[in-house]
Amino acid sequence: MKLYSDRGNPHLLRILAAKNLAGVPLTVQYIKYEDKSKFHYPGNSKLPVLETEGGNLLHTPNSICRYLLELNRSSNEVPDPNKEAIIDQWVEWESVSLQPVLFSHLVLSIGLGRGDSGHVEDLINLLRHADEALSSHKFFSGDQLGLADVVLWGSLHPLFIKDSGFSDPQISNITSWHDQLMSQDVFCKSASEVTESKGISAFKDSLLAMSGTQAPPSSKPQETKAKQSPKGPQPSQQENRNGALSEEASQTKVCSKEEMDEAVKSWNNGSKNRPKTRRLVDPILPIAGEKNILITSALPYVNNVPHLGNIIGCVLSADVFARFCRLRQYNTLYICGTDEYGTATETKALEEGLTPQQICDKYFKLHKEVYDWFKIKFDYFGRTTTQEQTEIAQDIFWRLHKKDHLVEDTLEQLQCVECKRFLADRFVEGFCPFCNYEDARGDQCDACGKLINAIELKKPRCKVCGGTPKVRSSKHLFLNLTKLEPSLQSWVDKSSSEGTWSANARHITRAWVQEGLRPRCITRDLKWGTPVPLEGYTDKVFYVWFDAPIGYLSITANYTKEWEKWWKNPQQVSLYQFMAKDNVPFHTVVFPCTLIGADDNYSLLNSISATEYLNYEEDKFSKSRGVGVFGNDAAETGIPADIWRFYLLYVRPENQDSAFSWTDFITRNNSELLNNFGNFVNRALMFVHNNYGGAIPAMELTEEDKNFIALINKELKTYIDDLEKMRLREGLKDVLNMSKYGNQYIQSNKPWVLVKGNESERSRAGTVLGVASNLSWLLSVLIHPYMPSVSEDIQRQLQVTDEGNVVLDNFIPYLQPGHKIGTPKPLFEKIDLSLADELRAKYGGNKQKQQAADDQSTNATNENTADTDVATLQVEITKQGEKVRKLKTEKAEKETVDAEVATLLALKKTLAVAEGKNPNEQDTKGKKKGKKK
Amino acid sequence: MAAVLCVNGCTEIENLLSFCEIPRDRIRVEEAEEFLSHKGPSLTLSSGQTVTGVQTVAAYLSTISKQKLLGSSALERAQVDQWLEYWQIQLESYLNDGTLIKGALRDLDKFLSRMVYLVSNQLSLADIMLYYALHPVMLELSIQEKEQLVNLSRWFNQVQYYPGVRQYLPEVSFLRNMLYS
Amino acid sequence: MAGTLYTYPDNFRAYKILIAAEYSGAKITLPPFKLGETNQTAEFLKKFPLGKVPAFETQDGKCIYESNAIAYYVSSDQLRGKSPLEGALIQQYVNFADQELLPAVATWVFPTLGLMQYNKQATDKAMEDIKKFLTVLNNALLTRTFLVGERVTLADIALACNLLMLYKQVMDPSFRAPFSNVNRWFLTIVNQPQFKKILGDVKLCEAMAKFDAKKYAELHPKTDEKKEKKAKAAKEEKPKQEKKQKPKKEEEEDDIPTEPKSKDPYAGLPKSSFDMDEFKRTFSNKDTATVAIPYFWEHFNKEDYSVWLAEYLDDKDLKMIFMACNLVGGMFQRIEKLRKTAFASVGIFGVDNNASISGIWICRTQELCFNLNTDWNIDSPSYKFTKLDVDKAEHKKLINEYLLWEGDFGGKTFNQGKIFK
Repeated sequence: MKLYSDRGNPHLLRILAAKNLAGVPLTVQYIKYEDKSKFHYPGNSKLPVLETEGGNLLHTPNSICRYLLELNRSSNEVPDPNKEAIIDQWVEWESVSLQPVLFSHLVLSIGLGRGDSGHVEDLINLLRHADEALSSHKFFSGDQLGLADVVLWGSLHPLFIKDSGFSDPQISNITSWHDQLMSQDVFCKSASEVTESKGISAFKDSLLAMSGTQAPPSSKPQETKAKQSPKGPQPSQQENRNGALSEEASQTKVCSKEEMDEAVKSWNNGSKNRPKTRRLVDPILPIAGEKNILITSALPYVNNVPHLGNIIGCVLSADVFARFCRLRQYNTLYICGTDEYGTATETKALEEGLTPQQICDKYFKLHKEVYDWFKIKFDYFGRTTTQEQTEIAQDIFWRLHKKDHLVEDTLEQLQCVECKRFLADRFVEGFCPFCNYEDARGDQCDACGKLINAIELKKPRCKVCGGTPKVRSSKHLFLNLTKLEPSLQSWVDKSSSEGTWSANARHITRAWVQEGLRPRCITRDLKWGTPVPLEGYTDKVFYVWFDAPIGYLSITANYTKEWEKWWKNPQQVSLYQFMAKDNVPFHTVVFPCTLIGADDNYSLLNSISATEYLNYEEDKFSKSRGVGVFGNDAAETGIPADIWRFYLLYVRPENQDSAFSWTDFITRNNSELLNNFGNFVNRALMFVHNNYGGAIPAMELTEEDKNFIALINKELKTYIDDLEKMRLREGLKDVLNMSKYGNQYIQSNKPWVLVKGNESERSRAGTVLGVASNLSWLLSVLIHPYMPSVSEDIQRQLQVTDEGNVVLDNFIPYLQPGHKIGTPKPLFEKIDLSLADELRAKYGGNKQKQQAADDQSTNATNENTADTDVATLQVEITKQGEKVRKLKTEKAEKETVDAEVATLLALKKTLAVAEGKNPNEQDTKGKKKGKKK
Repeated sequence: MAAVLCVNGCTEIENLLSFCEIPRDRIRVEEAEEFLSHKGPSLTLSSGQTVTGVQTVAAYLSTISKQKLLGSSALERAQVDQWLEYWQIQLESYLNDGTLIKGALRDLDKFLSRMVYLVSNQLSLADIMLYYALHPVMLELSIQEKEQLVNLSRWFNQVQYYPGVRQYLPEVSFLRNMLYS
Repeated sequence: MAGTLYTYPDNFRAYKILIAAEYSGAKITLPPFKLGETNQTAEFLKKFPLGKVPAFETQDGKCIYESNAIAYYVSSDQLRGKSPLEGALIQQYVNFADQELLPAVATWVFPTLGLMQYNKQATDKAMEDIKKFLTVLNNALLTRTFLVGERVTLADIALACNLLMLYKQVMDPSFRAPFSNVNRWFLTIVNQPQFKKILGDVKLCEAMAKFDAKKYAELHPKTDEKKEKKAKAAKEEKPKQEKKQKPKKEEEEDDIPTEPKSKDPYAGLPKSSFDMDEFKRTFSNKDTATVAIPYFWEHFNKEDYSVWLAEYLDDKDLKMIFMACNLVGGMFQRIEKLRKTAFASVGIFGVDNNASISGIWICRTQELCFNLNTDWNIDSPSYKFTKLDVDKAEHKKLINEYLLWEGDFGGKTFNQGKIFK
């Protein structure tokens, strides 16, 4: 039989005592705490673990003790149920009631060296309860020593060790019981085996390790008040405990010793080696031996006014990533531009009475302005209507032609008799031949997503004039995807396994290839486009989907003559592409086929991040119907660009569709930004400003600080990993977690109290503030990809330049003691929730405008009441609560109850907002689990 | 002399008592005047002492019943104990938190892929008590979820059909035909 | 429910009966039993005409054979199934166990026990079939704890017993790894107290057993006729008799696909001075009284051959003469193989509704030829055989009478006769 344990594990006390008492042969094997994961069983895994002869595992200390003592029991002995019951009771009490409190106490007092663990009072009450039992019996197990005593001795012994700092005069029975046991060899020997004469500190490492993984002892079992399932001999302490511990302080996460050591090491290192960012100079070109990151965002079609969905799907996402890469000191180039060729522009030109070129110029400017407002930092934002585009596209074309990847064929196309033009796919609508969706466009069906050729549409109609187009034949060129399929497949396999592909990109690509690739038409009978140079086709242009991705290359060519160093250099360049999911096939199938076929060592896609759809409120963005926020609308709201950036990234539809909601938008601003992030930074800096003359104080790190730094490091690691893998939304949450920890850190240390105390207390407060201020600096760097202006703002308040803008792997004290900061002021402003209704109405589309107007008037009255009368709200809530309770006891219809509950929750949310609290944190307490009937 | 049991609203103990079919001369049920929800079941032994604690009371009932519910070896007894501890300390807290319970169900499902009973090869107190504890959760699972937790469902179904276990609890239905895979 | 079960020890077909009895509480007595002997006695054969085991006799004397039927009888209602549907499903599995699974199990496992010759093709196919069957079971047991219903039934018992050999002998950990549900079910089942009592500890196979050539050679020595003729004749006869017991075991397994070897017990015997063939020619062509009989007495070698008087036991069942005739004719047809070494002259006596059959049989060796090979044992149990002493006068007379088809035959009226040659 083998017992696996880490050294100094307090549970060893009782197990060794049981073993010695039973005289059972048992070898103890000491392992590292992390190795516990090799043992598998339901529940939180922890050490020690007993492995019996037959390979069975016992993993709770009490069951191990029971087993060992049972082995010793002779087989003739029939256990007396009464005696067993007494023993069982104490064993149960120990594990269910005593252990949770005792463990927390030991972790905080021995593990973290905190003087007051906050649990002492509860502990004393529990012990007094046990003490009483010993007044009538010599041992807990009855008249003789038994399992209960072994278990309780193991549990309580640490309290009796010298330097434990625990003493209470009123548990005399326990004290003498303990003394009695210690006089026995069995217990004495077991104790010294575990402590190895290190005294109380022997348990430190193990306690810290265990608490990192243990279900937070003070949170879950206690937070649920009025839990009706019984917990054994339990004084009503259970309920009191909930109130006593403040939510923040009790949830201190604990890191392992290794993590803490590493944290301190890098902290000390960092203060000597402060980072300096490298500024890249135009033209940015790949550097041998470095990470060269080429980032593209899908080229927005010039004719469409971008809405929030487009922005988050493409340019904004790529921007965050690009900024992050630069902070990581990667050699980064971010390219984008407008996609300008195609019939849409031609048509629009006619409508507005301008030339296509003029249209493009006009709208290009519009795009640029919007993106500038959103602070998208392209290295170059170009357009597809350039000479370089024609050159490169034709060059690729000729290469494809020479290598026999093109096929000629006659196409039937729809020509609108009225307009006398061949209708581009965009200008034909009809019934989808696959799914019968009535609004399928001529190139792709919105409903089922399948690509179609316009002539396949059933009942086609010309979008411009409404007439029924006729089918005409015309010669066209096709890119033979079928021939390229094997090369494509092996490239897909390689790229998707080596790079980071978002799941939807994988699925879409796989589905496409599985269906089998057919030759794709790459020419069109149009005027406005890149001309086809081949004899017999010179009156045609390239189909926009063939032509547009080549735009990436030509736009880069416009940026630098040495564009080929980026685009024909797959060995040294990593290409990251951002887009919405409907663009995926073109980037993972069609375009790679084009480049593979052209065979000129092109840099192909390495990683792809494709977003799902962003919906608007309960609807879809629609310019024609006026639904949603477009172009300049965002700027017009008066809400700063950074807040917009924040929210769009917060709801970035990474794994599934998400929706833009005004209420949510404003709520997040008020809660996450204002109350969490902004609050932390402001608090820390205000304190330094007011109490330390604006100078960063000296920092002498205690165990708790080291733990905190380690915690931040952990989160930082996650942040880096998330962003490297383009999980932008997760990365943002990591930053918010860090500021949350920051808040907890300040809250639990209570510097406002310390600063009024003695010298050592003041200096303690100084350390805390110093660390907090440095965290603020770290946050300013980490938030930079998301909210560049906020980042600048923080740094201005900290009186540092952006020179230090480097995302290091560890948290370091960039701000040294003595560094003078500026005047702190709040980073964010509260936005009134009523604005949400206004704005929703404004951008809600034509039909909604009327309804909104109606709602407006009623809302206005409601709002006023809500705003001014918190008390009234509270009355409402109480009334509603009564209603709900009544319905529940009457066992009313589920729907009715649900509806009333919803109303209640809504009222509560309003109250919360009115009080300035986070409306979402209301209902976690007091959620009762219904009693099983 | 019979021991006196005060159930105090603990339905698991109530059901267990019926299942164990303990003769009247060994146990007598009396209810306290007031319903003290946090107190849990208690047992006044023939020696006069009173013990409390749901695990303790359950073990006592098992010992004096005809059924062999505590395993047939020292190891099995310890394993039953271990499950009861898991129930009281971890499962109870998970049951109140929707996010954690799913993880616990998955853990159990994995464990039950190679076991028919929680302890060794016979029905034990561990199976019974965990059945009672998980009953409300299982009742609420969708067909798809039950299918994903195929081993847990199999175990649960088997226990609920064991004569005397289910008592008046509603039956949780399981489909044999997999609809989703 | 109680009764007596006749079986040799460790008969896997008997396990399921005993386990079912453990569940139902039926009392079963196991009398001492010797395979080949106990089940060959006339008494036994009267109760169980096939002479196979396990065979069961109830307390009040009713006889049941076929292990599944016996198991059914000794079971409780729970084991049998509480509804027609449950009963049917249980039957489904019981039949599956014997008709589908068992042949494959036997093909794979028996060579490893030396009971059968190894045939790679057959074994490979058997392994594939087993995989197929286990997959079917594995899928069924994904959502079920037991095969039928929620408690142990005959289905579980029967299937587990048939799978026993697989798990113990040939299914090593890697082979059985994909069938985790079957493994789980099997281990739980065989560890139930009722199973443990009968089966003991079931240790799962660690390494796949292979064809045990040595064991096989022991049990089925190679008979090379060229070598062992004269000198080893006597020595071989003895071992051959003992080995007959083992082939008998195979008889129980009537679903083995390969043919059990029918050995010729006379193979390898030295040529006798009494030339049977010559005698038969003489008997056929020459006059019986004047030539054949004298020839017989002149050449007959009583060491090498023996003469037996056969008397049909169920004369009252004979009814018509022609029916008796057919009976004898049928018997002759069934012992074709004996034509080389045996000779018989059988007479039908009496009249319709009052007939009898008796005759003489001349067999090689001192043993009654019918007992030397089970194939020959079909009709002979219906006769009483008495060895005749050729030196005794009265026996001599009898022999002559039967050869001649004339005489008083001890008071019987000869009707017609049949010759086996």
